[in-house]
Amino acid sequence: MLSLFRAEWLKISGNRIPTAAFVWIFPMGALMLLFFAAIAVLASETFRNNVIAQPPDWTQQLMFPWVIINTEIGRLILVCFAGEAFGGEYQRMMWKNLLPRRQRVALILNKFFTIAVFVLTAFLLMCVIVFIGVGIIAAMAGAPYPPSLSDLGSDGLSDFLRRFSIQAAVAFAAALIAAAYAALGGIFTRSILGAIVLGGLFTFAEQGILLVLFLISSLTNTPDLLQLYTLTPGYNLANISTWSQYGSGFVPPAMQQLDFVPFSVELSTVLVLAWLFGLIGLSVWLFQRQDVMN
Amino acid sequence: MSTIAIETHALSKQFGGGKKRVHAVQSLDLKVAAQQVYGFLGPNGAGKTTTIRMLLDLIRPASGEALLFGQSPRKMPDILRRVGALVEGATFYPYLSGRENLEVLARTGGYYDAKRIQQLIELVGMADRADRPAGKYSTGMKQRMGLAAALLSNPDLVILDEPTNGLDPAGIQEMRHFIRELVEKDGKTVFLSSHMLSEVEQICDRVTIINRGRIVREGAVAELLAENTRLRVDAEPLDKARTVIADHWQIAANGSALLIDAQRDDIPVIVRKLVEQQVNVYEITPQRQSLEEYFLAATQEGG
Repeated sequence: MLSLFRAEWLKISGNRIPTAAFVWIFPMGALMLLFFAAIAVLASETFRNNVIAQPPDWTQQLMFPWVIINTEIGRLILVCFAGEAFGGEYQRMMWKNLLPRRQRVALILNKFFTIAVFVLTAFLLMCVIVFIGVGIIAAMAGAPYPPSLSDLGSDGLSDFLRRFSIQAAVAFAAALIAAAYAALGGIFTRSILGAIVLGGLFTFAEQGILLVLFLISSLTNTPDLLQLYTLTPGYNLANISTWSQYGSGFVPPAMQQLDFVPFSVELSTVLVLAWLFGLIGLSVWLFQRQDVMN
Repeated sequence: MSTIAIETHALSKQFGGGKKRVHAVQSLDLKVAAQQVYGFLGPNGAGKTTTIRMLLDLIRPASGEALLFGQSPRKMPDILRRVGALVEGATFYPYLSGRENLEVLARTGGYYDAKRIQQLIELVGMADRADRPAGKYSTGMKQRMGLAAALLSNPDLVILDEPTNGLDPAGIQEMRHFIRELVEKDGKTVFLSSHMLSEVEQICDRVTIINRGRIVREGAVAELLAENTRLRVDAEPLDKARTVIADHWQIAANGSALLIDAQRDDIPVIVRKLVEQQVNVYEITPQRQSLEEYFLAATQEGG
């Protein structure tokens, strides 16, 4: 399996333009922001004073990259990345070369896994960049960079590591779900554009369904109908993330008027896993039955 | 080990439905013995590539089954490890070099070996171009790399779908030589699909001619060609010769000489009969039908 993983990694990392546009854009974007922040520290005394007045907390800074991945735009970018990877095999007529060499199930599952690992690697790199970059900016401004490990203590450190791991797991799951949407798009349309468009539509539909439910519930005076939205992977990923960050569940703005109790972490985890197995299972099933004509 | 490399039983495939249904392959029964170059000949759209795709489990047969070394690739996918294929033109990841493409394919199959890749690159004459992006390769270069890709796993059976497409005459010659060597030196089986008759005639031991999804002829190339050997008879007076011959043999064509459907063994009898009737015989030569003529006749009959 390591051999198969390395093959997929080589394919993905070698495809530099889409990888730069859809994955490396995150750590590179962070680097750019930090660069501008560094210039601001050098150029503006007000900015320096602000940094000194509110010194950055590295335990919070390290959570920042994970927030991006679960935003709509973050997930759409991942869909583009995964769409290139899945749709590209059809568009470049490469399945005919690959399928006789390895079982279909192994090939498609490996693609899911490698895409998610690739995304996770990029975000971990982004965390490293943020951690070091913010530290440099704090030092340039003459501000501390709390908390020190002794201030954090072993309980604080383990709590941070737990939250960090949950955020990473959420990001991994988000990448897998984006990959599954793109895979389904690729299987149905056999093209990169089709994989991206259809995958993007699936992602939009998760938010769009809230609007549709809102309209129907308003017309039929059934506000509880809105709660169907909480079955979507997007809500549950956000809910797990919010629980781990703030100790409370996520209530979507459209549902704040309702007497809505957010799902527990456990329930959201089960729902996310159900979506993951369902979407990936559906992709595998369809791919297994598909005639590869090009 | 089964000595039958490829076997199909009533293999069929249709595309589309209703009035648009196309029967790409119909009840195909193939049996390809190991260690030979086997030609799979047919005009464009005859069902050659569809058959190859079913052999490689890229598409599902509508009915019937395909076996490789006695095992179904659908039920026992591992059998495909003994097969290397170049299907319908070589394709690669355009952003990776030729060498990287081979690495990806070898790693996918779990048989990556940098030395083997280098050997194959040299074997197909791509040593100086292996590190260029595959997107910049000409069709001929891609075909060469495609052949290297097909041989990565050192397969027992090599399936080549129109392997000389895009190659220049020297490249075609090289490819033919290479394919023969695969069988003669390495003991492999090559299943070669082509619509180029001269190619099949020159390198194949046996051939199946397929048209509109059905087999129209099968046999050893030499046997198929010998089946319809004709004799060219140059004699005078021609009219008298025609009358004498027409009593015993079918005359295929007239002209300045007679073309008759007869075998080489018939020559002494023909000479005797003509001489007995005071016909002067200048020359009787066996005329071997080219595969092209044979193919046209076979596909017209079959179609």
